[in-house]
Amino acid sequence: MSNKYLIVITVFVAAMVIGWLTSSVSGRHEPLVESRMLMDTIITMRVFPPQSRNAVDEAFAVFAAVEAMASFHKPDSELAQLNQNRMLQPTASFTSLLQSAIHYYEMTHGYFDPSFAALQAAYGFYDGNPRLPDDETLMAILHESCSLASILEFAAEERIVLAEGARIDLGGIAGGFAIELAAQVLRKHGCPAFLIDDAGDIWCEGIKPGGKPWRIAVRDPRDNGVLAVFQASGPVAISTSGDYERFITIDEKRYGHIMNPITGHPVDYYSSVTVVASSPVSADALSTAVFAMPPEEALPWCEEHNLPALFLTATGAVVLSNAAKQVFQEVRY
Amino acid sequence: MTRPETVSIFSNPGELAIIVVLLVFSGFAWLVDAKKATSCPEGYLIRILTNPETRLHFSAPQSQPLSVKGLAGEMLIEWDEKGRVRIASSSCPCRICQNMGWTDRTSLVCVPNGLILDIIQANDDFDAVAK
Repeated sequence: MSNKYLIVITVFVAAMVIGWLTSSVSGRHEPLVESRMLMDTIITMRVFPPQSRNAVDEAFAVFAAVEAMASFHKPDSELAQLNQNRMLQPTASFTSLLQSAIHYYEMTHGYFDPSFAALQAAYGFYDGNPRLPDDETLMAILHESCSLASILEFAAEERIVLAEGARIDLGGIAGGFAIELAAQVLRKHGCPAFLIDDAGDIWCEGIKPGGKPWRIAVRDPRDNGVLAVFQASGPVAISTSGDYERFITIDEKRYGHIMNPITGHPVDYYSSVTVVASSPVSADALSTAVFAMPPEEALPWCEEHNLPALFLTATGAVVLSNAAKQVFQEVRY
Repeated sequence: MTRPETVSIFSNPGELAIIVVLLVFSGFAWLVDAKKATSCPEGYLIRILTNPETRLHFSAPQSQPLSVKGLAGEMLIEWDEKGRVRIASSSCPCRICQNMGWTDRTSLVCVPNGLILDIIQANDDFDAVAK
């Protein structure tokens, strides 16, 4: 064989090897994708590199631990013990979760309030028996059993005391809390890019191989289409609150689970509210709080806090805060 | 000043053409390979969170409703002529999945049945859906 043809073959083989190596390094980097049922919902993680099995197992264990601690339904959780016994000597983690809830209660002037569980119970959200309590009952509950900061007392000997008749449901914040802890685990294991999806409340960080941003659709509840697209290359949380999944129906009318802190009635200003925030807990709590605010308060509050918020109103109008105009794309007006 | 001597290993343009053709071919092959490696196949991916996870992939809408067994019992998945899909019936107590209705872009989920139905589109892939 002449040298010329040897060179041709050598160049071809070298090119193929380089190509194979290139696609191995970048193109074949699919994330490890795993979903598990925890905290009464489906949690999905997408984690790079795909060999992150141990990290993902450990991160899911965090969700299990938060569920064991803060589940409203599991009778031996710390939260259930507090609701039942009115007194608890909490773990540091549970205290931290409660303090976080109080922080967002105060920040949102009571629009985020886990003690609304007492109102939800009056409407039958927990016992499968939907009913409409009268205004007198609602006022009594609001005055005696709601307002997180006043029904909880951090007493001596590191005990927490809960007011008689009150009950707390941390479902509006525990998911975000678990995501934060799970993200710490993935970071500790050196995972460079990952996304944690807690039933649509999402945290993502890092850049995917190939430099592509994380691409997240905001669901349009009217037809399950895409209301907007959010792309993220850095650590960020996005969370949606809506009235289309957790509701009761009475006389063919739907009542959502997020309550007005003044009247005690379920709010019906919006179909969904989506916010973007710098932490999963913040996104979780603020999407709920803003959903509870009437429109004349919600938008100014978001502007004051520079919060990206995307509103789909009950009448079908799409409204964005100024910060949201910078972060949402392909908005379907 | 003497002009540097250029040495060509190819005595005729045909040999150079062969090299170019091979390189173009190999480049094209990488692109196809990388595309295959980075993309899930288009269609409908149904995952049921059994242990191990059950996965069903359909590259096109099914003409007949599909009955699947979730963690809480039977579910019926149905397509229409536009390629939209819905959970037509479910054994779950809350029926949130059933009430979600038709979709041709975002996922359907039934928590009690541990079912996730993703619609995978080649040029419109989302990593997650905020909902």
